[in-house]
Amino acid sequence: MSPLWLSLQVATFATLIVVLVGLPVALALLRVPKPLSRILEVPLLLPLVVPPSVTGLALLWLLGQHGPLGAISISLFGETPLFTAGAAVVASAAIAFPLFLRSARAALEDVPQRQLQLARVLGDSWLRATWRVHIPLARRGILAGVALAFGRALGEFGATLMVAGNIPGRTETLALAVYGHWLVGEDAQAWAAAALLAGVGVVVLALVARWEGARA
Amino acid sequence: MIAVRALRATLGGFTLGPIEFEAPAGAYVALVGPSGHGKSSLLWTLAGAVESRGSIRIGDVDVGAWPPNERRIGFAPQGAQLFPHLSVAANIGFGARDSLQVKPLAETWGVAQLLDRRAPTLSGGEAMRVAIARALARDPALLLLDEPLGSIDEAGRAPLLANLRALRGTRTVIHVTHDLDEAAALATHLGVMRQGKLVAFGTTDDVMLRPPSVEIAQFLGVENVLAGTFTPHGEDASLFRTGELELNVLARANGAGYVSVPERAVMLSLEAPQQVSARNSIPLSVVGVTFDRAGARVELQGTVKLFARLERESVGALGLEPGKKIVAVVKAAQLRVVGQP
Repeated sequence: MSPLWLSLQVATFATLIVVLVGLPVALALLRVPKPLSRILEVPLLLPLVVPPSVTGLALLWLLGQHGPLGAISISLFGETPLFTAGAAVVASAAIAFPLFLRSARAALEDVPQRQLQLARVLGDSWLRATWRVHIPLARRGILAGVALAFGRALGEFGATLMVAGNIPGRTETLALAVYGHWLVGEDAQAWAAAALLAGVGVVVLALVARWEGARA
Repeated sequence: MIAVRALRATLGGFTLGPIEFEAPAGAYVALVGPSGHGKSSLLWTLAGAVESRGSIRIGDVDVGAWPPNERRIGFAPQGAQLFPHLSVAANIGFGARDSLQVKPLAETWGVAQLLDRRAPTLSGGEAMRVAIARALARDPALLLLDEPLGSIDEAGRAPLLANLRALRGTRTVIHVTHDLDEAAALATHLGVMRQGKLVAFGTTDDVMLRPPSVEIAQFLGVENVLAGTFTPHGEDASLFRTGELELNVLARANGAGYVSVPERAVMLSLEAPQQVSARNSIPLSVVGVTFDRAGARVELQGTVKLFARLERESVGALGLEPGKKIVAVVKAAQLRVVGQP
């Protein structure tokens, strides 16, 4: 599989996981008292501030045969997901997660409480009010978070290298290809891959600016 | 019917209650009081958006512990608070029991031509009409309105007042306002809120005519409140003495207390009229005259201080100017006893 195609697939699946997990987590964090939620989100935000190698190390344990996710994978498929595209998805998701969480949480927090209370008074259950009022009113910030998460997942390098390796055709994403080509002196290919990633980055930033700008 | 007992809630640093009141089914209750004294907070508490203690009986059921979505309450909050991501039609239909009701409600409330518009494009008055239609679409047992005329211009007031008046008797309504004229025009029952408590509640006539305290009388716009002592006089009359002045009051009262005199009940005359026992004549002199849209307000001073409301032309006819000696005439039946059971 070409690095570009693999990267797009990995980033898309990683973003999907980030949103499916991140949105309920962001909503749940709003329902616990602030000091407690600040503590609860520390492990989720940690990948933002520690080197990717640290996140990679943690994921090696988590996905390895002694880790909980690794054990589940062994019981289901007979092997750990390490050094597969699946591991690259998990690594990208872990690194991109905090960006989405922060953006979505801030947007959800910005929605006036009165609007949510009013939706409840007008007959909505909490879940229905979340779906019909809370998420739609926070959609700009949530979309900005999606774009940031996708951009970060596409460019993930360090943690991915540790848990998925750099196996051409199997786990070699575009970000890894830049490094791979440079390592063997294929400067032209390295530059081409780098330009592609930079181009996607510009698009992501433009989308973020558009959605966040409209929110403000 | 709505019956509220021992209702308490805490909102931020504000303490609401304990609040008690009861009004029959179909009552139109106006809640008045200064800003920041808990009128809106009471509505949000009744609606269930705020955690509270106590009972809230609507009809036969106590909904005090129920989640807001099960209380069958319609609420048009202050500033309308339409959902900005939805069209007018979707706003009205938001909590509708029957989506076929959206159009007729929009017609009744004068917003049928706006159904496709986005909420943020409406004027304040239009938004409030939509908010009321949205609240009614729930076919609520209790309708809560917070300053529904607050953002309506003069021209839009009369039709909306007529719409609101038409709600009387159809369901129980609680309408928060700071405008006493609005309350007097609409309400069958009146409640006065002060510092998170309901300090007066009763039929509008009861509260307006027999306010339970001087502060409430003054808040309700009764400018003339006199302090003195009552002595019973016959079956159902009293003499009220304040300083040198003695007034006939057509109500039985005893001991220290207050009487109030509506400004419009103070008539001015150049000479003392023929003594009739049912009238009180008070010699006073004019301190000043101020004019407004409704006519003129005359400040009088003598043994007591009084304000009188006159037509504009009466000021010239009587030659009222500062220092002018005049006799204020008040019918005994117009003197109201304040703050006595």
